[in-house]
This record gives sequence, structure tokens and C-alpha cells, in this order.
Amino acid sequence: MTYRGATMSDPVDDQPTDGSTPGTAPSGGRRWDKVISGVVTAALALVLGFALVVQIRSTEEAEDRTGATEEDLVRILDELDAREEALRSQLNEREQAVEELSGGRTQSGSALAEAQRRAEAIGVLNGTLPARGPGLRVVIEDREGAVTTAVLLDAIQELRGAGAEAIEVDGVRVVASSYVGGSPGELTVDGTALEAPYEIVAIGPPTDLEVALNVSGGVVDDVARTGASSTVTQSDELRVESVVRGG
Amino acid sequence: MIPILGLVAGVLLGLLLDPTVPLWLQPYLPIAVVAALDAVFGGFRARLDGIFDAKVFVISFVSNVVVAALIVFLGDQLGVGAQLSTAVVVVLGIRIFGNAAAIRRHVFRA
Repeated sequence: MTYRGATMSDPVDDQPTDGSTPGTAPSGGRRWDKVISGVVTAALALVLGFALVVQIRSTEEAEDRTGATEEDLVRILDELDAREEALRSQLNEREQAVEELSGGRTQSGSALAEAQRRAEAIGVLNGTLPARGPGLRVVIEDREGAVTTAVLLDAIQELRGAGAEAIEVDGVRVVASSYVGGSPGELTVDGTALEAPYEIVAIGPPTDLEVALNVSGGVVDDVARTGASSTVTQSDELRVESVVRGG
Repeated sequence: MIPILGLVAGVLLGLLLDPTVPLWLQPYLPIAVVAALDAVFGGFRARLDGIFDAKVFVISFVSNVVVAALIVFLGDQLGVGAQLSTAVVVVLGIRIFGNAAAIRRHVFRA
């Protein structure tokens, strides 16, 4: 650097031209002034050193951003924005999923209860579950062994047609696939021999069932025609404990 | 000698405490530091010239920092903060260079 260059930038205000001003004070005050000025100068130097280090430290932390141009910064900002948006939509999706799942739990809970209810009803209908409730008890006295399979089958079918949910003949559960066999006096249901008197228990609307049996030319008439007798009693609480064998 | 001790103490303090710069101070601290550096170089040069006066040093130190910060603040308000910061740094840098040249002449006689 040339001498001229140095003088050009002479810091006039930092070069004390009035350095003689404190010199007018007496020697004791001058000494005091020196102490104070030393302390203040040191304090300012301390502040400078502190600020310098702090600034350098904070600049180091932000190093990777300071070199970036405006376009870079805009791009970084765009990326961050896009990322934020993606994360937000992800959050929304997750929240929706949580909502659906918690909603689905109550839905599936009610669906399960419904399914269980239906399974019970079906179990009663197809004979895999015991049933109880209001119904009809029919006792057919057949001393002469005159009741044919047709009569018994008629009785069962009439009961079923009238809305019987569960039917039992002499402790044998009657279901859709049940068959009545044997010869008069030695009737069988699903291969199980029956013994007179035949006791039919049907769970269902008692009045409907009785009407179905008592209709003219119906089961009761048929039984009477064969020479046997039948008694029909309604009941509010009947039990069909037997279940179909072999599932 | 005392100012150098103060400077060293300040540096050590900054290293030990390691504070984070408050957000409002972040635009002004670098400029203030450069302005203070200018004052310190000026003071050092005055001392070598034998005309150092603590009062002048203190006033120039404080006013340098304040004016530099003020200029940056004003620039921020006007929307030209970055440019004015550059201007301040350039001016102060030139002055530091000049003072450094004077110091160099004193120390090395060249």
C-alpha cells in the first residue's frame, strides 16, 4: 500500500487531535483520569472481544446458508414449503385413517353383535342350539300303532309352516333335513325309534301353531281318523333342549 | 496492555458462555463489531502516534457502533439494509486498512 493510499483514509475522528485537553487537569486528577480511561478502554475491548467471538460463532452456525444466492434461498424455501405441504397432507391422511378406524370399531362392534344375533337365530332354526320360549305341546296317543309316517310328517310340516322355530319329537330335534321313517307303531325320526305317546314340542307363536293343527281336515282330524287321539296345549315357556346330532 | 487483556478476557468469556445472538440483534452485531474494530485500530494507531486519548477512543468507539447500527437499521426500514450494510463495511474496511497501514509504518518503519 502506498503512503498516499493510507492518508486518503485517515480516520480523523479516531485520531485524537485534542489529546492535550486532559493535560490541563492537575496531576492527581490526571492520574485518576488515567485509571478510569484504562478501565473504560479495557471494558470496551472486552465487549469487542466478546461480540467478535459471539458473531463468529453464530456465523459458523449459519455457514451453509451465507454462501447461498437468492435463487438458492428461494429454492430452499420452496423445498421446505413443499415438504411442509407433503407432511401436512400426510398428517391429514393419518388423522382420517385414525378416524375411520375408530369409527369402524364401533361399526364392526355393532356388526359383530348383529352377526351373533343372527347366528343364534340360525342356530335355533337349524337345530344346533337349544331353544326356549312360548310354544305348543302336542301329545299323540297311539295305542293301536295306527299313526303313519305321513301323519307325523304332516304334523311337523304344519307346525313348521305355521312358524315354529324349533321342533322336537320325543326328544329328537327336527330340522330341515330330518326324516320320518319306520312303519306305524315303530316310527322313527332321523333313525331314532319313537315310543308312543309321541310328544311334539314346538317353539313358536302358540295360537298360530294351534290353529294350524286344528284346521278342518288338518293334523288333529287326521290323527282322529286313524284312531289315535291328540291333545294340544299351549304354553308360555317351553324348552327344546335337544340339538341336532353330528352338527 | 490493559485493552489487550480486556480483549482476551472478552474472547475467553465469549468462548465459555457461548451465547446465542438474539434475533433482533443479528443484523446489527456484525456491523457493530466491524465498527468497533475500526475504532480499536484507530485507537491503536493513535497510541503509536503518541496522541491516544481515552475519552476520544471511548466516544469514537461508542459512536462508531451506534452510527453503524443506525445506518443498518435505517437501511432495513428503507428496504436497502443489505446494500447499506455493505456500504458501511466497505467504508469501515477502508478505514481499518488505512489505520493498519499507519500502524505498519510505525512498527516496521516501512
